[in-house]
Amino acid sequence: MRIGVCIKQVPGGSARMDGETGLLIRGSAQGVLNPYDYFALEAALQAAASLAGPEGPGEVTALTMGPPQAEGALREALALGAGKALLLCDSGFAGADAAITARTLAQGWEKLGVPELIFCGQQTTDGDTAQVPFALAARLGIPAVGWVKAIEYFRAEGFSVLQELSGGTVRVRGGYPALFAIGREAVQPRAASLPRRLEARRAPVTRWTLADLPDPAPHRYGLAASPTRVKRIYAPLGEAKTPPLRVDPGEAAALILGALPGREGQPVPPPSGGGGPG
Amino acid sequence: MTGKTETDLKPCPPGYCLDESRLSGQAEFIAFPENPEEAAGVIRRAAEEGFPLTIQGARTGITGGAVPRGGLVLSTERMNRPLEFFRDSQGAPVLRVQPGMSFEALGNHLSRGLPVPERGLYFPPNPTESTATLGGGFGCNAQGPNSLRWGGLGAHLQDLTWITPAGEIWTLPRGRYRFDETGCPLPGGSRLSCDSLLPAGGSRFLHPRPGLDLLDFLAGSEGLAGFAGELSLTLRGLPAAAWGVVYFFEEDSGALNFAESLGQWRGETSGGEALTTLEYYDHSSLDLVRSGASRTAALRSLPPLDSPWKAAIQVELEGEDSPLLEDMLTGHLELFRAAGGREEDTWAAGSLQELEKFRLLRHGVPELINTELDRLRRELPELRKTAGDFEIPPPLARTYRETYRRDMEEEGLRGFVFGHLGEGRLHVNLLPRNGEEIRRSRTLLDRWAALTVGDGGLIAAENGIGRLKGGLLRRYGSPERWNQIESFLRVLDPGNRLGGVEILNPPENGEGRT
Repeated sequence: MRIGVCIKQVPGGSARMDGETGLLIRGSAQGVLNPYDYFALEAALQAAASLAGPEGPGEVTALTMGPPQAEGALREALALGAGKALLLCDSGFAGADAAITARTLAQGWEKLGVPELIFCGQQTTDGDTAQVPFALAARLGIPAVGWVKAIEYFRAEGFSVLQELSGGTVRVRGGYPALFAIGREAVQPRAASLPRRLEARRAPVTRWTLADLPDPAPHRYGLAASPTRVKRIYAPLGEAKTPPLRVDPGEAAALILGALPGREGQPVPPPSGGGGPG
Repeated sequence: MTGKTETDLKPCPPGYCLDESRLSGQAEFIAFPENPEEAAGVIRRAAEEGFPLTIQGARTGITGGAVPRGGLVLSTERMNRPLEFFRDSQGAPVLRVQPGMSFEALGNHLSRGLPVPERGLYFPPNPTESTATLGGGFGCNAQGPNSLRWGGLGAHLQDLTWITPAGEIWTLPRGRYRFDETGCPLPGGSRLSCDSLLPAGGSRFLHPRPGLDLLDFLAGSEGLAGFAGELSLTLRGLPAAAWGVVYFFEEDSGALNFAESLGQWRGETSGGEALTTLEYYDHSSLDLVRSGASRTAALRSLPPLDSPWKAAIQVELEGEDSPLLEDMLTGHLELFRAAGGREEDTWAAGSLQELEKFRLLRHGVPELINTELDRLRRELPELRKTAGDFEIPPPLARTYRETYRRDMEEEGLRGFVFGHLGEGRLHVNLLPRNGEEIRRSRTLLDRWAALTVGDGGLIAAENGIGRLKGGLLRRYGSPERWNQIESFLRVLDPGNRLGGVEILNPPENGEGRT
């Protein structure tokens, strides 16, 4: 079974945004693999191990779209266990929003051969939209399961995962092909072994440009094709609904004890004599 | 004192009467000076009133050095600002800071607070406890895992503002005051006379030698001879390449064989590529992390530890020549295989950001031991941190590791051995479960202390002496050195405000027992 992972390189520290365009200035921070993608990769590698045939686990292919330096994220994926890495790299892809990123990735998978299982991180730490996995699934015409919080099994006949939704957890079972957006609770990412990490530094990374894609029409990619724009990025406005109480320790203890279920109205014990021996 | 009045001595809240040693004391007053002048004023005030004085940073110390014994606490909590960034005459970047600044705040300032062209600098000493203060780090001359390459914190200071127990403020530029064979000149024209050729006798605490800078002599003086009022930190550029690797073993002997064989990689290449860290974890330490990782939020980002590994060696390398570092690692891998290791039993990180994850392992072990200690103390209030931070000549590390294991087994005690194997500085922590085990633990630590000094090692090579280990130095260090330390403290703290002699030589059944 073919297994794919979509990954992304994101700024590692504090990156800056262009005030005019709303686009990330990529050179402003060192790039790292999107933290959520470690979970996607781990889920993909575990699925490959679970679905292993007599020849061993199937190969996991990592795909990303980005500038040349995004190769670093692919090498991280190779170090962790991906067998093949593909970078979609063309200035014509720059500035793509979630919808057009998904379109570009879908083109990459279509040229490569759409895997039966595709894993994505639930979201990225730069765009933070959590939309690309679902837009990609829609483009590829395959079902998607998002907010995966636990994996029960991947077997030849199908999968079972737990999905976190507002107000509850849903067990989702299904067959292939399918796409999964993996959350941080689902798996515990492995570390790369030393030999793999050393090998990944020298491993080949395939690079395709716009001209290599099945649909090479430039106007369907990048900023120009994107239906959405980032207008402004700002910190959430905090609003304290409950002002802090300023009370002495004895009153604080009484308030806390009084709020405990079943303790309402009961006397508060006197404070203890203080710390241990001096 | 400038700008402060006696009302600035506030009643001391209980939270300032304890530290991570789990010892607690008491103090009547506390002061929060904001600069050296105010601090000196507080000290003079303590002298006038006859208050015993205790200097505090973030109270992260594990030997009770910040635990007060009555009187007044001087907290450096509000002396926590970066002061000035500049380049010295050689072009080296220097940041002047106040002593209450934490390592974490320093890191944040270096990555975000410096002018943009200067970002990407760092301060090499890394004692793993990021909430500790730089002043506290100087007080114990903190030596974290990367001290294999970078030594103690004091070595990274360009100059120091020192506040004496008499309330004087000394400026100590590196190189101005140095020991010769008979002592060292002091600011103001006086002199500290001594025999600078006396061997360490079990401790680096106030240990002179000819050529030693006064600044380095005061590093590690634990707030018993004064304290840092301002520090000028020599910064460095981030290395172009950094690697962190954890090698796991199914046999303890494999880990020790591997560590010994890594000895050939010590030292720097001509380009500065070097092994900076060589840490060891025994099976108990790994088990502790295994069982504690799911309960401790900070450890959840560690990779799985579910294999039956019995020991681990953690290394870090850094330098400018990435291919050369990779060649070094390929060499390490061959030695790992030769020591019985399997390639898949390694964790490797190829950047500073990634290797931070592995540093959680090193930080997690002592944290989890303390958590376990707190749990045991609920049933056994007299339990104290029962740990040794001995430094032995590195070739003897293997023998000592074996001694610790055998002795703990014979005494039926639960314990953990981990730490800086590359420098012969292993931490051994015991977790006694009842009064009888406390007694046996103390006996073992005494035995190991005597053994260490006999082999030319150091009793409290890291984390300080504090109130927990004071007695060890007096009992097992050389008498000549003890006399010398006593005479230094009498000169440096003539009014005995900081109580160094009593803290280092407590009554036989006092807190100075480990």
